[in-house]
Amino acid sequence: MESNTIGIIILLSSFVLLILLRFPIALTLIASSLMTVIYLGIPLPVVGQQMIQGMNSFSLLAIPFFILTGQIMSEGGLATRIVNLASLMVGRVRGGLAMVNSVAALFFGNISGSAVADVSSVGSVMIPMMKKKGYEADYAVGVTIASAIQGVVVPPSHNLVLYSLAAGGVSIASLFMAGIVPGFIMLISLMITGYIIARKRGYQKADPVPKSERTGILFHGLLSLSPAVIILGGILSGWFTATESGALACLYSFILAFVVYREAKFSNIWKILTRTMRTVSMVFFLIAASASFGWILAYLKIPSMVTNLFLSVSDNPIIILLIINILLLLLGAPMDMAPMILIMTPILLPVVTSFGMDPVHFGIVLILNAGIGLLTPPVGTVLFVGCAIGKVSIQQGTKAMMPFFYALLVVLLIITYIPEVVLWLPNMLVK
Amino acid sequence: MNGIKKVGLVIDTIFEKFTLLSLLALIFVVTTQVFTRKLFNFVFFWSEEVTLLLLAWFAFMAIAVGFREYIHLGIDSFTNLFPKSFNKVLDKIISASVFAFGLYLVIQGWDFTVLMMDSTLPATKWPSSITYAVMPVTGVMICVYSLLQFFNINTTRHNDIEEGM
Amino acid sequence: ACGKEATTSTKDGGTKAEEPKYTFRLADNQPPDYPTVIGDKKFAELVDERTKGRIKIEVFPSAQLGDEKSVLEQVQLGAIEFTRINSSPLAEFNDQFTALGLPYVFESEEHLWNFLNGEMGTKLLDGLEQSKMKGLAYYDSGSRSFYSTKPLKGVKDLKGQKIRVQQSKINIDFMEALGASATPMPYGEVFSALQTGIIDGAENNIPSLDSSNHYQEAKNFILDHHQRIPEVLLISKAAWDKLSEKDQKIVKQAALDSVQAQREEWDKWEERSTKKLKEAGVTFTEVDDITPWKDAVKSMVDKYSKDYKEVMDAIEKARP
Ligand code: NA
Ligand code: NA
Repeated sequence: MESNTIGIIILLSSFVLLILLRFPIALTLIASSLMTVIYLGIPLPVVGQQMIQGMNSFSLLAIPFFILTGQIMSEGGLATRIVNLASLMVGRVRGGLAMVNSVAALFFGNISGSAVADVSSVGSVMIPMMKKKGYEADYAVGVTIASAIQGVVVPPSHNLVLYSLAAGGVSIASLFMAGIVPGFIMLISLMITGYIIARKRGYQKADPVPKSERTGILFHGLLSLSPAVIILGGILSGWFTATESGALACLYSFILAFVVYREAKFSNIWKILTRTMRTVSMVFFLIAASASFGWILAYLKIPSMVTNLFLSVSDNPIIILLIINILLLLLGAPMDMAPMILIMTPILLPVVTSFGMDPVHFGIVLILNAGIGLLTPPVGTVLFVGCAIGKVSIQQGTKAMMPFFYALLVVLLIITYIPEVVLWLPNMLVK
Repeated sequence: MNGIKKVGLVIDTIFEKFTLLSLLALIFVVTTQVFTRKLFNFVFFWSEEVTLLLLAWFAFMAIAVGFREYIHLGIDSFTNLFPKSFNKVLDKIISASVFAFGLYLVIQGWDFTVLMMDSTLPATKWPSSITYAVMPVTGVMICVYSLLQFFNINTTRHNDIEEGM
Repeated sequence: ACGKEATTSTKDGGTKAEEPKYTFRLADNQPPDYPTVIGDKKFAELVDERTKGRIKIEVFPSAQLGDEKSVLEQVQLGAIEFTRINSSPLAEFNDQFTALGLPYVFESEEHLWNFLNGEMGTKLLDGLEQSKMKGLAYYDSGSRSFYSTKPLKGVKDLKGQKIRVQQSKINIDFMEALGASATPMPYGEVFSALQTGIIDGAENNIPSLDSSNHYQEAKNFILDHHQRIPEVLLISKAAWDKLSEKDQKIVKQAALDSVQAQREEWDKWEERSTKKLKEAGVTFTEVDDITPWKDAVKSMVDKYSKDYKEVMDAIEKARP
């Protein structure tokens, strides 16, 4: 057998085996790379060299900055203010609290870019509130976790930055622009689903917000959203890079949370930094490890083989995209978001670009797939956190989430097959 | 024995604080860059290079601390099907593999650092190896953490921090 | 690393007295149809032909194996065998290469190639051996000139303009000497920076002005040809030492023989890009008298020249 073929077998089989044996995913990527490198007789330090190269990117720095901004804002009591703002906007509809939940998640996810953060922040405000107003716990959990997925697509999202890196520098500004319309389509479809179920279960409207409080809620809600405005405005106007916007947003949200609102205490700074480091640690280890793994993939020409494989199955883009979506949804069940983006981008991007799909369009499709994967067991971080907060079993939570899950699948089909939905805004505004 | 533990904890604390401070330093360097560019129309020519250098150090040190805090987890849905005894052995094997990874960073990382000694970074003209030196340094920390974990010593130091994200 | 088959066949080669077979890899950061990649492929083809298929070189275009810096390190390490790279990052390994990047040191393409084909050209390539690599041949990369969103008819128009440069002390000193304000930033950000006015202009060769789409924003191009920085085809020292003396000769000669194909392709690209840019409304201003440009940078060039006296003398001697 040819040495490359044996190399590919070693790489892939060791990867599957170690993943099954619950080795940390990043460590698995490194271990399989090392075994393959040893077999092929390539000097060993190349794996470490690639890990460092994986870190050698200015845009990458946007990730800890975004995460830190989200942490500072959570510490500053931002979730409550955003929920209040959302109540003001959609609370008066039947099943209003469910919609408040979706809108708040869109806003909040807009800042944190992390679905897990959304569930824990918005969820811990919304789920108890919904229960108190007579909503069943499983429904409250279902709508909360599905809504949290909006945040991964709606900018600013560090997952989009991750994709930009994995795709070899697709414009972050374009990706951010591209996420806006799909985000609103998700919001609408989640709100419609929520409304239908609310009618069926006979849920009521939320209480009206007293007139005297409205201005205050509006003001503080908008102020809480302002770090996202800095990030988005900075990037889209071209005034700052994503990384620079992130750094400015850190500084700004720090002033907002520590000096203006004073809800966050200075003694908590280390805690906030440590929390940020924990998330970053996991994501960065994956990025570094994926860089090594990706190098071996390229060295063994696996991406072009996968492309040829797909094209041999069908040359119809509609079919190929369907296969890719099913593949990604299946992989999303056991895989978390970051490894999915980092591992699958270099393999699948050449396939879709071979029939002329825009990398920006594919990015949004991939991210939504990976986001939906956060809801599906066996590894569904968002599902788990949501169930824990709502104190319902995983089975109950999964069952209640299903209608929203189907709604998200419809959105996925829409954005896969109608590229204009994704590309219209970036094409109009970013060249 | 207690003395060794104390010294170890101090070193570990310094290591972690250095990691957190490098994150703050990164924010500082990048914001400075924005302000000098917007207000005075210039950027320190070393700005990007120093940023990337700090980023590599921050990233690798954060990864090492992640091992200490059991953050790098695998998928356990398959192994849950097996008895406890199997999983106990597996825990040892995983700790040993983490140790091997640490050792790789120490040995091969050091070799590569030495190889990069005679080339320079374009802006600051510092030796390129300054970036790669982070591999052996964090490798040592990863070795220590995994060794303790191998002997069933819990290395978590942040029990009080609930998962924010 | 040449792959398992190569290693085993080397062993077999000993007993069967066969010549060893190799599969090598050559990394390039440009797309498959770019002139440098055409040169790479020509080189691979010549080696294949002349060794009767014994030495195969697979070209990996489009930075598949990493960016310039990463690939250079892989070559030093021996993880891959060949790369085509611009000569400016090589200054980090052999600082004599810095001299090639000083402004206005080469008066024409002919001058540059006289120098590169001379003794000093070869000496520079060989001077990389302590860094575990060896230069085989030079490829053409044209000349770099300024472009701007603002009018650019002579050297005095540059005064006060914000020009993007690659981050290096020399480039920043160069901009200052011309009275422009140097703004270092990553290449990928230049387009939006031109759009929003963070910078007024940048500098590059003609094909890059075309492929980067910067011309859509910056329509004033002035051909001052300030730098002519050649590309280099490199082999890892580990791979070079593994080759028999006969194979070394074949590889070296094939590299040199591929230069012509690469240069012809470069000229074609430059012509095609020029035509396209002119149709897109870019104004090309020729510089009739380069003296004021050279005068402006004289003290700066003199300052740097001291460190590279031998190379500078050779450049002087190569003047046609
Ligand atoms: Na977001
Ligand atoms: Na999942």
